[in-house]
Parts: sequence; structure tokens; C-alpha cells
Amino acid sequence: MRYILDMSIHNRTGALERILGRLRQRQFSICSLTADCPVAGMMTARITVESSRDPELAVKQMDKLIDVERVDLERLEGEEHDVFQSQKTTAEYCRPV
Amino acid sequence: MKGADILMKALVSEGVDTVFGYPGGAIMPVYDALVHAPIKHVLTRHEQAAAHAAEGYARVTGRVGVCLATSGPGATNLITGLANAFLDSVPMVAITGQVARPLMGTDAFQEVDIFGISMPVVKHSYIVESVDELAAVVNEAFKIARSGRPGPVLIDLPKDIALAECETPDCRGGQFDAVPRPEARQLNQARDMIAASRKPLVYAGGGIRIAGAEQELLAFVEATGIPVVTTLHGIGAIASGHPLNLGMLGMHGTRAANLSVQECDLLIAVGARFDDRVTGKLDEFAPHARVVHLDGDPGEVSKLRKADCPVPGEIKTSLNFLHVRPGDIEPWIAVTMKRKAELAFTYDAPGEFVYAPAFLKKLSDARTPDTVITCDVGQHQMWVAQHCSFDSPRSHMSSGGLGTMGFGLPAAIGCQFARPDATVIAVSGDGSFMMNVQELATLKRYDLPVKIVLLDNKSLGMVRQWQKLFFEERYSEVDLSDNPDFVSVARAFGIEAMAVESRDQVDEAIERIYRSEGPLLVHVLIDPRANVWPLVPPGRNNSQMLEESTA
Repeated sequence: MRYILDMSIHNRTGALERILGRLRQRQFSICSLTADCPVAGMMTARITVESSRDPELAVKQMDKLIDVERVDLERLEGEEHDVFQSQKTTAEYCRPV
Repeated sequence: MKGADILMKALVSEGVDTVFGYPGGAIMPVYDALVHAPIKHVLTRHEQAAAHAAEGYARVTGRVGVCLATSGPGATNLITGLANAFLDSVPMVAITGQVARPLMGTDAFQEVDIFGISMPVVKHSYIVESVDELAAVVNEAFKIARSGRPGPVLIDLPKDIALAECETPDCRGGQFDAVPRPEARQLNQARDMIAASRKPLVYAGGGIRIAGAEQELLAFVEATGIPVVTTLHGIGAIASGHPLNLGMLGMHGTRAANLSVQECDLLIAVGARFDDRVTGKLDEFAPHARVVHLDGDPGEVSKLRKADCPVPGEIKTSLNFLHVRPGDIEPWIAVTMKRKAELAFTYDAPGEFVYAPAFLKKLSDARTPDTVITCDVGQHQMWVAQHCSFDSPRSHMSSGGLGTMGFGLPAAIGCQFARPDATVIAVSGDGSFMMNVQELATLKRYDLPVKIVLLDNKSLGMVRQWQKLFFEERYSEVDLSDNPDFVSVARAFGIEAMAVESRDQVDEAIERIYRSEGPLLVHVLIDPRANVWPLVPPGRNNSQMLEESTA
């Protein structure tokens, strides 16, 4: 299933890299990414991720990062699913949107 | 004032009195500043050991441990230590030298992207970009390391910044994610669930030590009468000897703990994270239980097992609010207590070899109130968890999340520096011990009275056990019968050593461990065929424990 993470980030060294690495490690594949720096020191990023894992887990992991100021979740498709049924993750790379 | 001097000043202002490290080219300005700084530097003989020692120091004190290394290989050698601290949530600050900024990105000598390499195993990290921000970076790093769920923070310090003169110091530095207060609605729901339960059980983890909530856990358990099982890192969160403590659960947990978990109707997870070594087959773990999950890290709640009542937030506050005794708990207490008594470990193993569980039990029974036991990883680690008693989670130090062989001796060194008067015992195996054997030189150099108990079965015992049970006895690279003579090795480093080869030598060895003043290595020859029981096979649920007779 696909979700959009809409984030506001302190644009310090490695901030975006840290976010992408954490998403990968937690089994969320990145489908698309747009980022911008509207004001000095801050970055906004809109990241579409795909995973069979509960998207709340991605939000919680992003929340833990020091550089992340705010993260909102938008569900793109699919229905609410149970964490218990989401243990099996696909190893397939996501196709471009 | 130069950058390196600012670093020293900032460390002192954070209350740092001891750092562990190893010098080299890019960090030489820092070592130059150390000469006159009021900070004790402990030279380990490998950077990995410096990181583990800093972790030992942090775990036993609850303060932030600090380690130093140079760029390139010095920095990469810290990685295992950082990963260990990350997975076990230990507050640390690692400072690495880096090549000067004009050389960064040019493949300079001993240049490596340690900021990038370390990223997945640190809570946060910095490349210092200006000498003016250095003090603020150090201040922030310490706050981040100890706030919320603690963890390691890395500061990569380019050499030119360490040498630069500071003109206008930047004083930024914010507050970071303190653990939130739990919500009243969730606490009320948890109270109702506890009141309505008939077979409740507390599943206590390392989060109790992190929150300093040992007293609150004890008060909760005594007010509610609910029996407790602990994880590896929950050991000591409630005293091993407490009547309601059923022991460790999981792969090598006690039968009483595992069977009770599989039967309970309410599992109250407190600072625990449903690790795979705890749960066995996840969807058959505690199959009859609803789950209340108290954790300081909201990211752990419902990560693997969906909580019926999630209670993220301060554990102390939550536990204090939940003093409600279930209406009809006595029959359940009676069942669990009977089981605990009937299924207790026995120590009358036949044979000539020293029986490791009996040795460890005797060692533990003779403990002083200030005894700390550190472990390496493998069979001996599980025997310590099963057969030693602990009255505080800070007196048991084990590499839980990462399972790092070689952790025990350097961690003991860090502990002993933090608590010079404590009896610090490193229990190791012949495999693990060789992974940081060079730290015997550190023991000698500082005349640290660490006692090493080396349980030698001439093999990689845990791997051998799995090959026996799950790979049809095809033994692959587990034979260590060509080990060196460990007594001679210790003596070559100038450390006293003795061998224990039969059961009648055990009492003398234990007496010597607690009586002798300097460092000591006790080499204990154990049965090369001994295994750890019970064992939950991989992919099975926790009621399917193998015993020696059934394996």
C-alpha cells in the first residue's frame, strides 16, 4: 500500500539522508520524493512510500528523528489493515508512480 | 581558545570526568588539549573496546559515556560499540577526529565518511562545521543522548576546527523530546483492564532501568499482586528473589515464566519491546492475552504486537496510577507460584566436569551488595541470566539487542572506572573472550581489580548447540580446542590467573574472586557438551520448550 508522508524538516547536514535511510531500514520503499527549502534552514518534503507495514510505524520512526519537526500521513489507497497481518514485507522495488 | 580546548571545556561542563579512547592523526589536537584538561583519559587497546567501556560506564552510572577515536579506522572500529549502545538504548557521545575540511571528500589519508557509516546506529550525529558552534554541538549532543529514549550521538570533528581559534561562540542548544506524560484516558482503560483480569502478568523490560522506575515497579507489583516475568534487560528491575518474580521469559527463559505468559489473560508490558528472542513465534505469543503496553518510546508501542491499550509515556507515572488489585487473582498467583517451585532449576548434574550453572549460582550467592556482573555473548550469557541473582538492573550488564561477543571485558573496565570500589566480574566464554583479549593490557595498565570468569568449553558453544539441534549435528567451525592456555595468556599480561578443572576447586576459586584485590582471571574448564536449557526452537511458540532429555 502507498502512503504520503508530508514533512517539515530542519535542514541540517544529513537530515534528508537520515530520513531516507530510516524509511529503507524499516521496510518502507520510496516511490517518489519532492523536497524544497522555502525558508533558510527548513525543508519541506513530500515522500510517497510503499509498504505492507502499518504506516503509523513510519510516522513514529520519523517522529523520533531530531531533524524532523512535523510529519503528517496521507493514505493514498487501500484500507485499514492489521499490524499482525503485515509481518511479511515484499522485497520488490516499487515501480515509479 | 582553540577548538580542542573548547571541546574539553564543554565536556567538563557536561560533568564528564572520564573518557575512553585511542589517539591517532586527525584527533591529535584533542589529545593535546587532554594533557591539561581535568578529565581522565583511559587508553584501551582497540577503539571497539573504548566504545564498550564507555557503555559500561554509562550503564552502571546512568550518565552519558564518552569515547574518542581518530578518523578512518579509528572511527570505523567504534561502529560495533555504537550499534550495541543504540540497540540497548544507552546514552553515549562518541567524538571522532576527521581530516581537515579542505581534505574532506578527497579520499585523504584515513578519511572515511563516518557520519554516513554510523547513521543507522546513532540517535543523531554531527559534522562540526565551525569552531564557533562546537560548544553548542557538544551541549546538544549530550541532551539528545540522555533525553527520551537514550542512545549514542556521534560528533565528527575535522582537524582544522579542532585547531581553529574561536571568536564568537554560538550558544544555541534546544530541549529534546522528554518522554511525554501518559494520557488519562489510556491509563483509565488500563486500570479497568487490570481490575477485570483474572490471570494478569507483568512483562518487564529494560525500559524500567532507563526510566529509573524500579521502585515504582515494585510498588505496583506489591499493590496488585501480579506476577512478573522479565526480559534479559529487565533482569534486576525487580529483585531476582522477589516471590512474584517468575524469572526471564523467552528462548532460554524459565518454564514458569514461559508457561505463565502463554496462559495469561492480560499481559502488562512495561518498557519491553516484544523482541523475537522473547516472543518466539510472534502470532502465538501470549495467545489468550489482551495487551497493555507502557513504554517511554511511542515508537515501540504496537510495533510488533498491537496493544489493546497503548500507554506511551512516562513509565513511573503510569505505574503509580495503576495500583488496582484484580478481584480474583489468588488462584492465578497460586498456579504461578506452584509452577515456579516445581519447575525451578536444579544443580545436581552428574559428571566430573564443573557444572557451569552451579558455578554461577555459587558465584552469585556469594555476591556482595556492590557486585556487578558483565557478560559476553553465548551460552555463558544465558547461564548468567538464568542462574545468577540480581537486585538491580544496573548490576547486570549484557549485550542484549546486538549480541556482541567481546562486550564483557571492556564493559567491565568501564564499570570499574565508574565504581572503583565495586566487585566487577566479567563472565566470558572462550569464544567471546578472544574478541577483545587485548584489554587485559588495559586491566594491567590501570591495575583494575576486574575479575574474569572464563567458562571454557573449547568451542563456540551456542553455535554448536544449534548445529546439534537444528543442523543435524553437522558441526561447522565451532571447534576451539586449539585455544591458547588462558592462564598463561593472563600471566603474560601480568595478571594473576588460576585454573579450575574439577568441582572440588570451585569454592576456593569463588573465595579468591571476592577476596583478591587486583585483577584475576579464573579459567574454568566446563563440559564441552553442556548446553543451555530450556530452549524454545526458532519458529515455535514459547510453550514448546526443549529440555536436555527431550532434545
